[in-house]
Amino acid sequence: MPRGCRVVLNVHVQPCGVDVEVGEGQSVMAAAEGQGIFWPTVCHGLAECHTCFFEVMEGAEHLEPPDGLEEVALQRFAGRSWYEGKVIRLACQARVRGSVVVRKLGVRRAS
Amino acid sequence: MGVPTPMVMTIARDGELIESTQQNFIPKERYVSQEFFDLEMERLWPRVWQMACREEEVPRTGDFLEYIIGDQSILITRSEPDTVRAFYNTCPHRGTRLAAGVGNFATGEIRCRYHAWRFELDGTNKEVVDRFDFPPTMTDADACLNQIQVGRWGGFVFINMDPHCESLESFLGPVPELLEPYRFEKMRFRSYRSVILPANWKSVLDAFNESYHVQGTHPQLLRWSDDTAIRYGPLGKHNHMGGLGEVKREIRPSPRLGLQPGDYDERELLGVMIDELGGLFMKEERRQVEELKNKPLPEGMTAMDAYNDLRLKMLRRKGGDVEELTDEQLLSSDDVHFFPNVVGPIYPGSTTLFRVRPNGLDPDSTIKDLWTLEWVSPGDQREMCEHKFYPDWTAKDWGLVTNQDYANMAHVQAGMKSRGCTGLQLNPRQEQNVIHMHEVIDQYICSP
Repeated sequence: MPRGCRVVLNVHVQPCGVDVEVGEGQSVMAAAEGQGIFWPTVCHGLAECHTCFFEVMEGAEHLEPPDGLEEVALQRFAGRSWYEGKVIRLACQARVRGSVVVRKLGVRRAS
Repeated sequence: MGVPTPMVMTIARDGELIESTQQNFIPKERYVSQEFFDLEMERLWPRVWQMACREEEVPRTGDFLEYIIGDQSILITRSEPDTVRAFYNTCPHRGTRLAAGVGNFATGEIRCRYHAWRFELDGTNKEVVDRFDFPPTMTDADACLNQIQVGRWGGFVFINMDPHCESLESFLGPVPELLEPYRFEKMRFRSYRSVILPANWKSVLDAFNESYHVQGTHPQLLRWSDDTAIRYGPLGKHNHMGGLGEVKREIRPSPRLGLQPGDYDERELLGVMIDELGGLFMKEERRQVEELKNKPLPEGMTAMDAYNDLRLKMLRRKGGDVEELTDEQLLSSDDVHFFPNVVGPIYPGSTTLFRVRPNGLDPDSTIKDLWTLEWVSPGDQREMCEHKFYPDWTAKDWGLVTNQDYANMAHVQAGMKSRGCTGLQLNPRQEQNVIHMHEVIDQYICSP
């Protein structure tokens, strides 16, 4: 359980099957990194590289709405046919308030 | 490993040229000092071949265009259907500038607005008003326009103010042979925009002459771009970047992301690449990516192979002779830096060239011209596009990648002026083109 966090929520990542325990107020990526899970990123939390994005498969209602920084970044996915009809969020920004299932290629337990 | 050779870089201080010989170091004076800038104005720009315009900017006899470099205005005119000439834009009488911007000498002559001296389009004098008043020692040559060298290649018009300069062919060295298959002479403008940027002309150029900054400035590009595999190297006085060859057969992310094969979908990356690079791609190329996304890939083909297949068909339809392009050129791009001040990616069928020029005599300000050129279908007699000018770069959304580059400019220029900065420590591999550009600048400024 992340230190100092009272509530722990589960983010299940497909297709690798990894479960990330996310504390209240923590970003999904920060939680993953804290648990030795590799999550693709270049800018390490600045919402600039967009590399950490994931697709929400279940439980979209359990995610906090994106803040200004993430909203700007998500505009890069809007209107692009590849992402049409998909709920896309940035792992470095997204906070959860319930269980969520996401799809993200490249996530794995660091060896 | 051998002992590294110190880099010799010249700076100007109190009227003296001083050599800095620190390994891998460019003194900041070369970017921020007025004295070094003035030295470039005196010894670099008047001696070097400069890309002044495209042939299609002066298509008809009598058309003219003013090319400005620093405080020098050069008048380019088409004096005959197949002859383009360049003159210092000054009347031999009182020095009045003869023409500004672009236009056509509709009367078939150049007339000075001040005292009405008149000149043929080839620069010879047609009339000195009241010539009988002038001393008989004034010759016809004294009353002609002051002509300067013109060279033409690939639809580009080059000028050189040095009457004793090397030929354009010798200056360009290996560049024309490398770029021959791209058939620049068949390209025409798709768009022409100019913008003022708050940095030295070299600071602006540098941002497009290396890809080392991609991971810092454009991290979003690393999803589809293996920035670590880009090759750099000199081309005579010029530079080359690109040529990814086999790497590009499979579009793949930068190794900096730590992804493994299977961690990404090639078709998704292809779509993202086309979106991110926006204006560099033709509308039809974007449509082809959409097509690819919706159907299974042919047996044994990667998404990049299939995309290139579609792209080739499109280029052939446009009448492009793609047979001369090497596989590597078809799959990648050749980014060329035409010394001193033009750089950009060149693709089969299109290119976006960035020409940077000092803005007047200010070492901290640059005019950047963006030329997007493309092959046109046979029979397409398009007129020259509108030239749009943006004195304030922040007044327009240039797209994420370009916005990121432009946002760096003021910080680079201001940061170099800090008392804590003495110069630039460049990456000897990934920023070698920048180093080489400085070495070639020294060939000019060290010669009195």
